Amino acid sequence: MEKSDILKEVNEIYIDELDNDEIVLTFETSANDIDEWDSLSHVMLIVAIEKHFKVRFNSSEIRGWNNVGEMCDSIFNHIG
Amino acid sequence: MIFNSINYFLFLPIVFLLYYLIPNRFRWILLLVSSTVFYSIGGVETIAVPIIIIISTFVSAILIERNSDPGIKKRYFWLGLIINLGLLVFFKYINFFIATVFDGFEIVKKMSHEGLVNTYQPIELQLIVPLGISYITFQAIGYLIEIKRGSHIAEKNFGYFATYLMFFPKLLSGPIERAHNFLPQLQLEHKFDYDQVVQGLKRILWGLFLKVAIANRLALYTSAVLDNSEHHTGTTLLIASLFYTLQMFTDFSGYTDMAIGSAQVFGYKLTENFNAPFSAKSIADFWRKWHITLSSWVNDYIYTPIVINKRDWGKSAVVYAGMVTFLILGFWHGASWNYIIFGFLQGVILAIEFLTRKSRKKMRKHIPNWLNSIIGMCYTFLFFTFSLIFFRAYTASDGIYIVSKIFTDLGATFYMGDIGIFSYSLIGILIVAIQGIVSVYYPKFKLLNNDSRYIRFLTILFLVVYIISFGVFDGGQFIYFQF
Repeated sequence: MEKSDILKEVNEIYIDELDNDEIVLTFETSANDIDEWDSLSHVMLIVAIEKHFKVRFNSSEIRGWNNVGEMCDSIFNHIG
Repeated sequence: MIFNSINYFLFLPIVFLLYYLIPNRFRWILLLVSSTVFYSIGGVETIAVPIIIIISTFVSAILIERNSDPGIKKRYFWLGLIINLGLLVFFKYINFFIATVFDGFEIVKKMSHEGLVNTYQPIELQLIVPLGISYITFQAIGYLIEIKRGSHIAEKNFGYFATYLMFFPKLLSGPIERAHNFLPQLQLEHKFDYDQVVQGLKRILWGLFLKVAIANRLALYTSAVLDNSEHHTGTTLLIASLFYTLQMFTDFSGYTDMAIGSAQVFGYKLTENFNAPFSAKSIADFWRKWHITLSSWVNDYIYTPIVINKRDWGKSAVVYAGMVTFLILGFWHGASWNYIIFGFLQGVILAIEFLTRKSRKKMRKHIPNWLNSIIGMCYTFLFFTFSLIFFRAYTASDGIYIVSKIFTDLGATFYMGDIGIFSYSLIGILIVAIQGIVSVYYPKFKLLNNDSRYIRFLTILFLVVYIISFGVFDGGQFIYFQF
């Protein structure tokens, strides 16, 4: 799977979880860019992504993400 | 030494003059020495405590970094953590633990020997709580966690590290500064920058205005009412509680302005602690705008690790982590049940907000945006005021008494006290409200930094005259110094 395909699927998860059809993610998108993406919804997004891609991130991986691109890199490395 | 004291207004100019007279490479030494003097005036009996924290954290961090074995790393991390937490718990919480255990024994005794209760008193240790211990230990613990995670390099210069924890503008009540924000600034060339110095001084002036002209004046009313709650009606208690929220804000944000402004005159940038908190439309949003350096600290080092670890629980993980975090945050404020109730209330409302997010979003779609904003801001302000009743109360039962009176004894009459006190409180609130609204909705409109030098001058003149005319100079220390 290409990283751009991962981004598309992650985008769908964000739309569902954050209940906002207008979300358009890029690799540079961060929590500052989306109102609903805060520390409360962050974990729900992670759980949904882990379930969807059938992966399990470790804590330091999650802590290291600064934007959607780095999150997609992690997914890519897991499903590689 | 407190910021709104004569001592500080002698201390700051002396340090400032010396700072820019000596070569840049010696300036951090001056900051360290002056910070130690700052601490010692009022806290010399406990100076050993920050020294122990500095040495143990500095050494632990280097040992964590030098060892590659994860087990040994962990051991040094725990050593540093236990020393920090041990000192914090000993000085701040030991009497609470003794009293709680004693109460427990008394209850058991009462149950088993009804009517044969001895009147023992719990031992109370006469301890002097070291100044700023909560802030120093939080910064030290955050530093150790980052070193253990490998996200930062341990500082090798002991003097730099000591200056980081002791830097006097943030020593007593924060902002809780992260090492990676502060330590690199020690190595910069701090040339005299006229604009920065003027900005810093304006910030100090604004902070002083908030503290002595607004917060201390509000305190005259709130103390008269809330310290004698049994003599006042529910309406009066409600007004005093609303005033207290604004007193707390002007007191703490006034302190923070003075701290950030003091650092700025030396060329240092501290992290902002407030971002128009009363523009928040939910409690979750509020905690991102209020005491930001504390809430981001607990978010990074308490909430996030718990919620990530328990994420398989789904939504319950968020509720659980939020509750644990806010209970700790409440307890951090003080070893007393009223602070724990304050934290508990934040945890409960956050859980409710989180669990009702989607349904509230649907409801909001049917209401105009401006009305949504007003409802959200009013709800946030009122809930925070409600929780602060417990924060302000001396005991949990005092808090419950005030709340019950507010809900059962509302009438048209209320205590105004001295008309001067009440009307100047209202004028102060009006000034702060206008400033808050302008800063959020018209950020380009500035008075202290207006393009016109006449408006800048008139604003400074107004603040100085207002402080001299209406300031309350014996209003004691800042609320947050006790934490």
